Amino acid sequence: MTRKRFDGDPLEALRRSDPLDRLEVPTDTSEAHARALFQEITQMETMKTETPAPRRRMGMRIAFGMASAVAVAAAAIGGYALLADEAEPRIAGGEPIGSGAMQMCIQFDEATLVAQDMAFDGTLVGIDGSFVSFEVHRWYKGGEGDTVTLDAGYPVDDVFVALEGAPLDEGQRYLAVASDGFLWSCGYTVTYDSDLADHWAELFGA
Amino acid sequence: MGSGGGSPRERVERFRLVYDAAYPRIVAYALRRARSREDALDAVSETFMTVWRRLDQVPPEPATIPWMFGVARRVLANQYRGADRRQRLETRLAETASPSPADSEYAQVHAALDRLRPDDREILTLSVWDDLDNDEIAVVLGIRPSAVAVRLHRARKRLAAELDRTLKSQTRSRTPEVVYGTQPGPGEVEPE
Repeated sequence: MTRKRFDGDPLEALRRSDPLDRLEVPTDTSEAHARALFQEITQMETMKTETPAPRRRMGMRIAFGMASAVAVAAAAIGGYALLADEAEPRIAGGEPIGSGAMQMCIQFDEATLVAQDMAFDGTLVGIDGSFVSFEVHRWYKGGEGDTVTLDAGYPVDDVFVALEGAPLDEGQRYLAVASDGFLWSCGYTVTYDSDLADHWAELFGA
Repeated sequence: MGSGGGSPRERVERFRLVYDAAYPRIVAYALRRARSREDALDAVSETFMTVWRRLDQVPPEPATIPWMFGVARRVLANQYRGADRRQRLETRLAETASPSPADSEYAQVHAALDRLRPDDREILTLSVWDDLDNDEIAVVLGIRPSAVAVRLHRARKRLAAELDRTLKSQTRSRTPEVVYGTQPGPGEVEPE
């Protein structure tokens, strides 16, 4: 039996044996998980929910969010998302779904909608990175004046749509909600619909 | 700037700067040590959640990222208390490409690494894999930079000794390790 000694530099050997070389690693934050996580964390502050989510694994929460988004997307086919109510179906949103990948969305409920700082009927008139400006036709809650500029959280591009499911197009009229200067999408800000606008007026008591 | 300081937008912007700079490195750190990609990303999530909650306490550069490594280290420690590093890595690698049987150095190094004391292993991997300097490692581990230098020196010697031992052990063995000492497959046992 030949006796051998390790005669190289142990640190160089260790460097060559980095397991990461064999694993898939994102090189920047453009990767979907990075963006979804950023949005989830930063939106936790702006949501100001009274009942915090259970300490379920965040990855699971993202997955569940995606699943619920898919469910909402399915419900949205045909123009409306209808939330089941024991007495009668209620119109909850117009065309909230841009894709089935709304990873960061929480389950829609009207209590959350009504709890937001601002709600309005407005036309998107400008996009500057993550900032979006609306010409406001009617305030349902909060705010004043004819225009408002809000932060969409991410630059409004294809990735934003993939994450938020809400295509934001200049010239499009929306029923929008926001808190702390951030626009809420995920089925909360929706494309304008007159029936839905009436429902919002009733909901917000405006 | 914590939840009580600055506007929400300023807070998000500050977090964004930290996040963009640290995300790839924290992911890499977690992937090297977690049992699965899902677990690694979960640890990343917990880490950044903590950073967000403690944004006021995030130190300025150059200590920012090492401080976050320290957070990730504690998150992973809680996640895998008592779990075996090698088992985690084996599982993780099994999800992707396993090391080639011919890649003996890889197996030797990891076998040697597994025999080191956890603090030796940690300081070596922080230095070599995560590419942290002594000052940064000191922030991660909460020790003095001078102590890092001493520990690194000792850990390096112990690694070299373990590599020797691994090599000798493999030379004696009639059943070469294929991947992390798992049982050899058909036809992989050396003939008498």
